[in-house]
Amino acid sequence: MSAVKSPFNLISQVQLKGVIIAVNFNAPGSWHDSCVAQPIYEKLLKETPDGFYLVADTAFPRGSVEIEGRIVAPIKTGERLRGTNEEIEERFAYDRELLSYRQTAEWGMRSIQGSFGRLRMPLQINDKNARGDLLEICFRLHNLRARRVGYNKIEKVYMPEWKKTLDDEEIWNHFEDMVFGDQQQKDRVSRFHVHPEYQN
Amino acid sequence: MDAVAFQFMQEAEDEEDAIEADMYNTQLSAALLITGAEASRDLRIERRNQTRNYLCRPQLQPNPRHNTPWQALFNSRNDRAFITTMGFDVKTFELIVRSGFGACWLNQPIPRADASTRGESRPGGRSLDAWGALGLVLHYLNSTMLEISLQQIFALIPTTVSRYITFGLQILLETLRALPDAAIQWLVHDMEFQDNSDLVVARHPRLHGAFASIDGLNLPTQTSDNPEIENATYNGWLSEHFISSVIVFSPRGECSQIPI
Repeated sequence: MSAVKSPFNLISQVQLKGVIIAVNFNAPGSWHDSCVAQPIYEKLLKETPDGFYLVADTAFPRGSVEIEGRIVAPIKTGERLRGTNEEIEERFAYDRELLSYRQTAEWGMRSIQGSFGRLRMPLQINDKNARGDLLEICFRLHNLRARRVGYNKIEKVYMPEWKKTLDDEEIWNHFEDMVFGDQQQKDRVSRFHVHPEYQN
Repeated sequence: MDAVAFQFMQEAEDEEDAIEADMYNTQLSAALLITGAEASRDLRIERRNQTRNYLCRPQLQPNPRHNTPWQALFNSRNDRAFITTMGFDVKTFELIVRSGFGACWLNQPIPRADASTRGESRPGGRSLDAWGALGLVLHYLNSTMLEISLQQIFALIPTTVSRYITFGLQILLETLRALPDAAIQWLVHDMEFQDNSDLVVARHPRLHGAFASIDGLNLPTQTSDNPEIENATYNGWLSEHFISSVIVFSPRGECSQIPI
């Protein structure tokens, strides 16, 4: 296709694919995420260059001193912020981007749980290895599909249709942005759930 | 039967002859015993019937290698149909078969309790070929359907379905572990981190250094009989039994593969 390759549409599709680069699975459900994520923390500490970090949601544990700054999450409700007007505004803007990017993790989960229906059935409890194998198969198949099939048939079937005219293309390329931008503009609530202290 | 027996008893009482009455009594006890045994047998069959939720050959297509719904799907070679039922297009489906699944299916004997696992495999005697086996396993993974439905689609009897699924999953995992495109691999070079981060920054200009997103995934599991395991899998926050995983998603797919 001769469609314009703006970085924007390229990324929105690539994000949809979400190849899994690390996973620790088959842990008992009572474990705290911080225990389950231990091997991933190791990777963050030992196999990740400085200055690079993962994005998580506010509930994800990133408390321990060693991994501070390696996992970043939006501000928690009730948190206290201090700074000049610009600093606080900048922090809010940064926060919105974190939140927006974190959504990719939800898309990834959805693409795993949505397509591997078997995972919706209660996993069998008595054979730990068989259960681990089943999970590993699903995660690896997810990656294979992300790399080989493209995200899904919607992309394949409808995308050329939606991009037929210039107008359509405009809408297609900036659709998410429009909606999300509107949301951002209309979001007058989230800032009241934290406590900014303006210092100017 | 009981009513008849009761009538017998009444008649027996009317009889004046004590010896004859005795004989009747004996017959009566025997009749009661037989009736009781028969009733309990009926009850047992009825109870068992409820768990006999499977289909046998006469209720299925006669030959799993011909004219089954699976054969129709497979012969259509239609990407949309393949993705809908199994999550992969025809090309990737074939890739899995060629990358080792097919060879494993042909070379390895299917483990079964009543035969030695060391013998030669006899793929010719099996109800499905390698493609059918992969189709069965992917149908199983991509749906919540009962084995009965799988029996109907693939025209297989119950033991065959469960044996093929167990074996198929095992060789599928073996295949995927050797397949580079199915690898789960942390980034290695600094450039990769930078590339990933660039992808994020193009969309979110303030997130310099963000290269992937992370989240936990809780999947429902059965409740264990073992109180220790039961306790370990119980998540008090969500009030259910779960198996937990934590997953890191990179923003990257293989860009070159995307037909834009």
